[in-house]
Amino acid sequence: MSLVVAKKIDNYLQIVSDSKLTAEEQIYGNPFLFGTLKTIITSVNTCISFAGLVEKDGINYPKIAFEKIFDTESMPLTDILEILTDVQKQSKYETDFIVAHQNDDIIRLIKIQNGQLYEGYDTFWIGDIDGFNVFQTEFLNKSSDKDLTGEEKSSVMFDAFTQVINNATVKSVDGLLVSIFNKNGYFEYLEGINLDIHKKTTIKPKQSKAKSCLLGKQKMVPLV
Amino acid sequence: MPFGEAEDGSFGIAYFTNEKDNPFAIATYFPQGRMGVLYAPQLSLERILIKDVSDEEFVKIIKEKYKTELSGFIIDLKRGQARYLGKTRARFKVNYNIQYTTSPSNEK
Repeated sequence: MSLVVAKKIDNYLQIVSDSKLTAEEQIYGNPFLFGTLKTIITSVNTCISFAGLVEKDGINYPKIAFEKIFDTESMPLTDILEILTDVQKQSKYETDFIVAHQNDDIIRLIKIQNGQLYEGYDTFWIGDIDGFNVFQTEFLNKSSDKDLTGEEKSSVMFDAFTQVINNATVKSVDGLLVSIFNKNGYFEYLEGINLDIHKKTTIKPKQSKAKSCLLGKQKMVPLV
Repeated sequence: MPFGEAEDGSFGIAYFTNEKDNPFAIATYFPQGRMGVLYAPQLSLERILIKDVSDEEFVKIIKEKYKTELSGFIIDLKRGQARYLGKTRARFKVNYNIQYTTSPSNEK
C-alpha cells in the first residue's frame, strides 16, 4: 500500500514517501533492498508519485505509465495526466498518483484517484490511511503551536514521516524515506545520512548490580 | 566515536543524489553491508543492486557504468567520520540514533 504525502510549504513543495513493495498475497523481501522508488522526478519541473496497487498478474501499472512518459522528452503536463488517468483505469482505480509540476513560480499539485483529478489543496496524500493518521498526528503535534519557518516545517514533515516508518503498527509503510523538494525552482531528491548506532559498554560490579539497561538518545540535525 | 559495525546491531544508510545536469537518481549505500542500490528511473525502471563495494567504489562504478555523478556522504565507520563528496547542495539531512546497552563485566 505505502504512503506518499505532498505538501506545499510557503513557496515550495516537499514530498515524502517510503519504498516498501507489497502485492496481493505477496510481500517482497527487505524493503531497504527490494523496495521501489515511489516518487520519481521525470523532468526538472515534474515529479510523479504513486501508491496502492503496483503489480498484479504480472502487470506493473506504474511501469506502464513511466515507460510512456520517459519515452517522450519534455512531455506536456496534459499528456502526462492523460497517461496516468488511463493507467489508473487499467488498475481498476487501485493505483493512485500525485503529480507535482512547476511552471515559472506556480506549483501545481494534482491527485489522481478514483478516476478523478483533484487540485486546489496545499496537501495531498495517497496510500495507507493508518500511516497518514500517524503522520498527521506527529506533524500537527510538532508544528501546530509553534511559529515555524518553512525550513523548520519541512524538517518536521521529514521527522513525522520517519515516525510512520518506525511505527510497527503501520505495516505497509517501511524501508527508505525518499524526500523531494523544489526550493530552487527544480525538483531534487534530498540527500543525507541515517545512522542507528548500537554501543555496548561494560559496568564493573562495584558501579552497578544492574544486569542490563537500554538508553535511547536521538537528535535530528537539519543542516541547511 | 565509531559509527558501529553490523555485529553490534548498528545500521546506517547514506542517501546519494545526482549532481545537477546528470540523470535524476537516488542511490542508497549501506556501509555495514558494503552494498548499495541505485534508482535512476530515466536509465532503468528496475533497481540496480551493487554488492561488495566500499562507498567510494559504489559512487565510482555508478559514474563510470551509468554515467551518473552522485553527491552525498562517504562514511568511515571505524573513525566515526562522514565526509561530503560532491558539490554543495541546498539541503541535506543527518539523523542519528544511539542506543547504549550496558552489562556487568565478568571481572571479579
